[in-house]
Amino acid sequence: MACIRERFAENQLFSRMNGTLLKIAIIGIVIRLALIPFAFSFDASFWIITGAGFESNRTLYESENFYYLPPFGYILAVLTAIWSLLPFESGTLALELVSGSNFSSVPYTMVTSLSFNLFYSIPLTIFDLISSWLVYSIVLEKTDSRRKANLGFALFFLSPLIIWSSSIAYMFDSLSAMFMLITIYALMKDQYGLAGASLALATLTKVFPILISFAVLLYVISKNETIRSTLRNLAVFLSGFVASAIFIMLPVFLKGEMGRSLIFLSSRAEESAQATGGLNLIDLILYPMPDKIFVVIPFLLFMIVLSTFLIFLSKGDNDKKLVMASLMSVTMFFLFPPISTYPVIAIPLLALAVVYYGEKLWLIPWVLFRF
Amino acid sequence: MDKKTLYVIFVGFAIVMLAGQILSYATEPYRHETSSWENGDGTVGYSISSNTSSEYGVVMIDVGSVLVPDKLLIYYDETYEAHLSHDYLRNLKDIVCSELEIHGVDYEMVNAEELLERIQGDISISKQSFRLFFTTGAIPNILYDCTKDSPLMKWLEQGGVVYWVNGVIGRNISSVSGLTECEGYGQLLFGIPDSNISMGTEWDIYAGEKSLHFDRLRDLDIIYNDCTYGINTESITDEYLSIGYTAEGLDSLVLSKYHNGEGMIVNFGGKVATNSAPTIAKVIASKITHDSNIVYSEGGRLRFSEVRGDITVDTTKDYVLYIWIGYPVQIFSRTFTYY
Repeated sequence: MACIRERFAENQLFSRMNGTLLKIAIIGIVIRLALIPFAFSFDASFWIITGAGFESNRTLYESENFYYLPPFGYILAVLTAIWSLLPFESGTLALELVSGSNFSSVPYTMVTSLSFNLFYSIPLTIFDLISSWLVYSIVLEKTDSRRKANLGFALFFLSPLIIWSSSIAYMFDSLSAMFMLITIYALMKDQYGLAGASLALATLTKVFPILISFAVLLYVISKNETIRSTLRNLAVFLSGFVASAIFIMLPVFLKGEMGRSLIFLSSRAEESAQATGGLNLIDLILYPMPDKIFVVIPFLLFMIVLSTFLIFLSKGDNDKKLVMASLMSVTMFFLFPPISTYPVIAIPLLALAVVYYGEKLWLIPWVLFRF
Repeated sequence: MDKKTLYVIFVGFAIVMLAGQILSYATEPYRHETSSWENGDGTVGYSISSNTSSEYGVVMIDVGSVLVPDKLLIYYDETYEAHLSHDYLRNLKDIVCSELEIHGVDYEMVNAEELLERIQGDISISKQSFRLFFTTGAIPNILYDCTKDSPLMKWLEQGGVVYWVNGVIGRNISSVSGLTECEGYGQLLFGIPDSNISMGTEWDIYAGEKSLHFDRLRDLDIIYNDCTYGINTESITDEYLSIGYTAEGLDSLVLSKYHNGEGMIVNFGGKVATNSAPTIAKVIASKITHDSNIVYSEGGRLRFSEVRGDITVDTTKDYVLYIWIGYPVQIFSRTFTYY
């Protein structure tokens, strides 16, 4: 009986929460609530238009306003179903606030309502909380230091970039970061199928977590002593990845919307080509705008592979190498100025680097990513 | 955190996503219904219901002398040149059709040959069986040669209705081999010089000042301010309605009587894009004309219940009842004609 009670207590989130952690969580939530009136209506209005598409019984891509792969779109469908039951306005068109803009374009003219902002901040805050909790758990498990774990939690949950992304920009990059963290944690626990499935969800949510795949490959190779076990675990990982990808993409594929679902990648590539007018190195160095990143991808990928390889050649703990190689892969990519919410996936890795890897210098990019 | 908790988090999200897949791809969970009928005592009744909590609007429009047919033909023919690329137009077609469907517009895509046949059919019976939407920025040479004797102009003369977007109206004539430009289209269509119709600029022109008749149909909430191919309406002598915005003397959305006949031309002064397609679809769906006046307007919020009402009408006049659900993005609308 005592054993059952103990087990029950172990599984309670709040039983694990110490006072400091609770305070950090409350501070983070209060900041997010305080920012609700300042939501950037432009991005949020796309969720309204996509939601209106659902309400007219159209699919995720039929209203031509959702520009990402489907995972967050499916969550939007559920949120829309709940929102459609609530007696609140989603917002209003404030033409007097804009001039010289396309008035027909709802994202330019809409000011979202406080109730809408509050409602949609709930899932985004949940993504942030789970990601922070994952950072906390990894650090606690690896260092056995509650203080470090609390710091890890705070470095994610109170990160200005994370708060800005989910409470001002209303973007879902934290969801991608959360699935990437599940991947890393599952790998540390030898749960290769779950890790693969989660990396697929992370990548399909916002593409960038695919950057850690070379680190994952070297991690599995390093961790397994025989070729047989390495191949078996890689196969399990890949099976999870493929199964998860099929689960997400199947409805879109069956509906013939694959092309539209990939618009995030194709439009960025097109913008990139148009922005550079070809590969003009001087222009690239003088004006390194986010939309030109696809031009320098081969160079960045080379650097990612090289740094990951060097990290895994060094001596030390494999789990730490996985964190560091993932961090290097992600931050290497963001050396080129990214669109402001993209580096969200770097924040949990920076937090892990500071408190788990023990390298405090990584606080510098954590601070710099605020800008 | 133990392994089980990790799986629980992952599976929890997978279940939410599965629910989202079902809601968006496997079912049609949202139900919106409207109906309207004549009570026989000089009133028209209507009802609206939805299983969502949404705003709605009911607008009764006195359409004046122009009777707009239900059927909409959309010209689309890749064998003929267009003012814009066919890749763009192909994508645009999907966007426009998707919007027209939520408004319940009965539309059909036709190529140049089919359109000629349909126009000739209407001319032979001296009746309009359809209205016509041009998105290609050019008119096929078998329909139009910049004179009032061409089939399209004959059809307009007897009362046809044309919606135009994506270029200078009447200027470009297309063939299978290319585009030619004509002169005198302004005089032909509106009785104004060609120079009073904008040739377009490198950048889109978005106006901020309300145009002359903006408030007349305000309750329809039509917001359109792209004047890139707008019309200077100052010298138009025929009846017209300018319900958009104006900049540099150019009006963004003009509904005008055809200068050489009874028909109507609706000119959208910009290009179709994802964001303007809903507005364009709304104008088409509501069947407004250059002679329109709103005689009744009512709105509110549906709360999973039915709203009913009666509107007193003058039985000697022609009306269109436009009912919509959803704000600021309309999710459903239907139009009822009382001609």
